[in-house]
Amino acid sequence: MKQKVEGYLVFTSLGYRLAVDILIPLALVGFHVFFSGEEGGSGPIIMLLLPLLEIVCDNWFLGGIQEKNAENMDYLKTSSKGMKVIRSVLILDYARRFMTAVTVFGICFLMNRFLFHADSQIGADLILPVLMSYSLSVLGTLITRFQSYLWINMLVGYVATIISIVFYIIVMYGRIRVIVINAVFMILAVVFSILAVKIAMTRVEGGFYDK
Amino acid sequence: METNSVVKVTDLQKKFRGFELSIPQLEIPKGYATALIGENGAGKTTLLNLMAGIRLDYKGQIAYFDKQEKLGDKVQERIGYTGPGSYFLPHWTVKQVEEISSILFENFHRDRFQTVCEELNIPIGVTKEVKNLSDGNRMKLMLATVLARDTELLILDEPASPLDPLMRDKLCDIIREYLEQGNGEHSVFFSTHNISDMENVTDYAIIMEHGNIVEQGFVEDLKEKYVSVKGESADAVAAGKILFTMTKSSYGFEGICLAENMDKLAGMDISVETPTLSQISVAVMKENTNLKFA
Repeated sequence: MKQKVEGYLVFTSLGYRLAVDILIPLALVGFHVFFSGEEGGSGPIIMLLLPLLEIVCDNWFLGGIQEKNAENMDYLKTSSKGMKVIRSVLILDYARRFMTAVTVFGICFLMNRFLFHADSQIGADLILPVLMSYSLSVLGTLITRFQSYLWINMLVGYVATIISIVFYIIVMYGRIRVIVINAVFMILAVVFSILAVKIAMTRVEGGFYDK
Repeated sequence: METNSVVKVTDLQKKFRGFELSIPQLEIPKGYATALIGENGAGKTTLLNLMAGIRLDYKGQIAYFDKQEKLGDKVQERIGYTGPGSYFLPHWTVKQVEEISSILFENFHRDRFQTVCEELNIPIGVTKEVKNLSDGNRMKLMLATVLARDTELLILDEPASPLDPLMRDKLCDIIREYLEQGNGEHSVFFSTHNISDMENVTDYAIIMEHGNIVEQGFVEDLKEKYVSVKGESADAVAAGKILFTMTKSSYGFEGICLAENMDKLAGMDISVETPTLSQISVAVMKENTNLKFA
């Protein structure tokens, strides 16, 4: 595991790690503190922002990795461990992404409960934002990694934001029970994560062949 | 000359976008520096990529080392490859290259890497990213990563091209030193367009054209097989029919001739010299190229 973490740290640039591990979580929590009143309230906005920011930052990390003429990564290919390193980097980044969502929404949820004394529900105000923002950011990067233009990442990020708004409205008006939506997003989170790793690895390993 | 081979290629075929690499038989001699020479698009990089294991779609067999092993974990550990493409990830720093190398290869020695970096004057500054290094420094960094490992075969794709003349000289020293340290167990296989610069370190030469090997042999044997000929203008037309390649001027002609055809030049006023590897290579390539010469 130590070696996998070392591989992840080497693979990701310092700037990317600073952005996704420190700056974005701090900014979102700060945003929450600044805009929340006695009823909590900024949770939904953060839920819209997190996938967008993750999708945009991913351009910096692995933008274009699934492109046809992607980085050949020749040095990694010369080692029998190279592909294993890439796989573990992809998996660790999804784990990191999930933990970022848990941390940000967890802090916001606790603030709502104990600082703003808002009537926050675990299902609607913690689990749903975590699962929804994680699923949408994974789906978004699964799509954007086929190219390397930042503006396309932003565009996909905005679409993810719109999807988040739609689901939030559905939950707000109680059209579908939160537990059902959470179950759906739980399944989607797992499916998207597996698909994202599988597709990225297929494309990277395709670099050994004329694919 | 009787030698063992470090890489043995049999019936190798690869087709890609109208290009076809076809090598029925090829053996890279063990314990020597072998140069792969050919014009652009001849298939040098494709052949080196296949041998280094970074391209796997081909027909035929490539066997490595004494036991004729197939490419696998153990074989890859014993091969060091440097290439001109996107080798490192652009955002890696020299320090990160050191770290990833120690994860990727069991036989990577950090202390040796640092020594080689110092020796090659590679800027080890923590924040200097690979994408900000010059082409020459990037090549030096690639060399440092392979030299910091315990390998038996170095496959170097155009190592001399991005280097300045001083560093090319140093590269020759590095190759020579690597071969000496191996006591016959180390081999180097490199492609080059800088034949003159690399000639003094080349033991064996392979010349490729259009995906085929058109000439190969130990340099000393090739220098016996071919002869450099200079003569008077009056003999140019007659000599042109015999010489492999010829350059004419108002003073006379100059060209390369197969030694076995020298008797056909009898009676002409010519002088004969031992050709350089560069002259032989250009002559062989001219004979096989699609380029049009006046």
